[in-house]
Amino acid sequence: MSQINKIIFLIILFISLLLSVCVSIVSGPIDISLNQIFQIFIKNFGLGNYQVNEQNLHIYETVLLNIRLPRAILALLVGMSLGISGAMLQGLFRNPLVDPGFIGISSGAALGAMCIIMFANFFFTNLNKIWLPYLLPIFAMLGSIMTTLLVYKMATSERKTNIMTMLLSGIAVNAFVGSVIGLFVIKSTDLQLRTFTFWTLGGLDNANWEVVGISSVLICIPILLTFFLKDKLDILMLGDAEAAYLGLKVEKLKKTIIITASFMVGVSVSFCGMIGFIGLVTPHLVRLCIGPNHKYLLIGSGLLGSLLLLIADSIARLIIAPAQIPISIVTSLIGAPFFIYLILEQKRRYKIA
Amino acid sequence: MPDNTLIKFDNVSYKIDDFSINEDISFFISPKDLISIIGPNGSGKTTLLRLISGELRPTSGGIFFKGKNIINWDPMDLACERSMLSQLNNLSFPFKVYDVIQMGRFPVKQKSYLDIDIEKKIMEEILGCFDLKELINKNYLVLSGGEKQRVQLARTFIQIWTLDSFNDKLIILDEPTSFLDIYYQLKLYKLIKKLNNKGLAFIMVLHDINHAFLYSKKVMMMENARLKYFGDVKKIINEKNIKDIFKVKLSEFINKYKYEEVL
Repeated sequence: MSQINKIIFLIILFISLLLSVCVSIVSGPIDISLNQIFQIFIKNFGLGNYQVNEQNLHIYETVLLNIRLPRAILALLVGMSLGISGAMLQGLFRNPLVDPGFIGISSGAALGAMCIIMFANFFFTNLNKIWLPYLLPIFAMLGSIMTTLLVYKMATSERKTNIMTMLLSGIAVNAFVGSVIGLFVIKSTDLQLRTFTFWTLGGLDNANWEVVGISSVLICIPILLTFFLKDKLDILMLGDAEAAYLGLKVEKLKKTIIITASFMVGVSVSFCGMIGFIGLVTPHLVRLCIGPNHKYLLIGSGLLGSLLLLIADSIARLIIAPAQIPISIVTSLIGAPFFIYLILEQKRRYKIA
Repeated sequence: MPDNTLIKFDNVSYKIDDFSINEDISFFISPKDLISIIGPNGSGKTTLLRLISGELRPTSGGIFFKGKNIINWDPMDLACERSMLSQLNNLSFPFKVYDVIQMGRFPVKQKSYLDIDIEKKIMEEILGCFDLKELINKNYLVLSGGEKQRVQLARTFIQIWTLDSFNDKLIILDEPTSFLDIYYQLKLYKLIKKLNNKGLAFIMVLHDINHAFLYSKKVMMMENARLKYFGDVKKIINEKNIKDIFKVKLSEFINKYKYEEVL
């Protein structure tokens, strides 16, 4: 595929993303027409002297600006971080079937979340209640950073990180953390268990402007960083030794990739719980369409990750509206069969090649 | 010792735990040398190349590239001066041949502003050298073993390619002819000779003693982690040394196959 086609693909992706944002904020249990949205935006952003004369506009305004818009933006941010980190980690492991969860990011976050759900009332009784909503993301974040570092340390000896060992120790740490969570589950009350289960299934219901503000800073900074890595990621595909012959500081590069990717995913998981398969499937799809060059792959994965998560969130919101289903149910229901298809497809391809 | 050594090994040893892979190796290589390393399996040839390339750090002793300890070289500067081809190349993503070759220009791109016309010309020269013009838009993964090897060779050569002088640059090749048919083997050796005349130094591990004899100026013979013999081809490759290192009687082979006639 030529350069121009790749750029056209990215532009199409971007336009469909914009369209799906519009569809997503228009649709919901409360109907808001495009005309009303137009009026709300004009009223709030003071564009011209357009006459606003609609009853109940303030209700729509609240629904649109304080519920649906931040939720859509959060979906964009989280989807982008999952897609890009998936692409980076698949590049790092030189394996297109790697998911950010493999190196302990999600399970660590789950452990952190479980700890705070279990012990919040025990440790923080005197704490101002305002702090409680922030404790869960902070602990989830800490948990994900700690497990990822642990996995990284286990795979590193004599300043060299063995990627295969990292994958294996990731599996071991995930299993270990899973059983620790299991122990907590035995001791948990029904309410705690319910809270935890829903957290693990993920969801964007926490979205408000504050969350959007915090996560946009925390997600966008590492994303900007990754675009400096695009050429280096390509070269890393050749192998560790080859990358070193081409002048890269390979161990430093690996560390940078692991830190930025796990930080992005850590932030996403902390605010939205575990969302499966987006990080796995997105880069794979983009690679099928425009090839493995990270220059385009990273942007494409970011855009497609946002798009997929936005669609999944819309389905999760609308399918049994006004109630919602956790988003991971949607992503996994669609993602898991697709993943199996990818594995079979890859098997078929390697037979030819 | 001449002043202008390209590489100097000073009592270099490389160990994993207590197991010596290279032991107490000292030598120096001048610019414009064309050296092949031969020796039995497991004698430490590849490790020696990886030490020369700067990828591995010696357990003891010092390696000097152009008079400066290789540890103190900035990796990117070093990459503009020497390139290396490994034995195994396992690229598992469907990059285009063109992209794989272009990755070789990465160090030069990092270090200097590139003229597009010059880059185009360099790419054309490289594609001509390895007959890759038709493959350029193909997916690397669907290529045959020999084609992949030619692409990797092209990537290695383009890394330090210039349009004028190759002085003081070095290419390290680990079994460059593997997977190549006889036509491309000969073509590669001709290219190596031609570039060597332009001032480019080569160090390569070869399996075929005949090739080492025909296409290099100096030979290193390794045995049991040590550098046993090093010197001019004509002096080093003889029946006694080969019997000493490989435990093989050369005369039997020559009588049987008459290699030189074949070549």
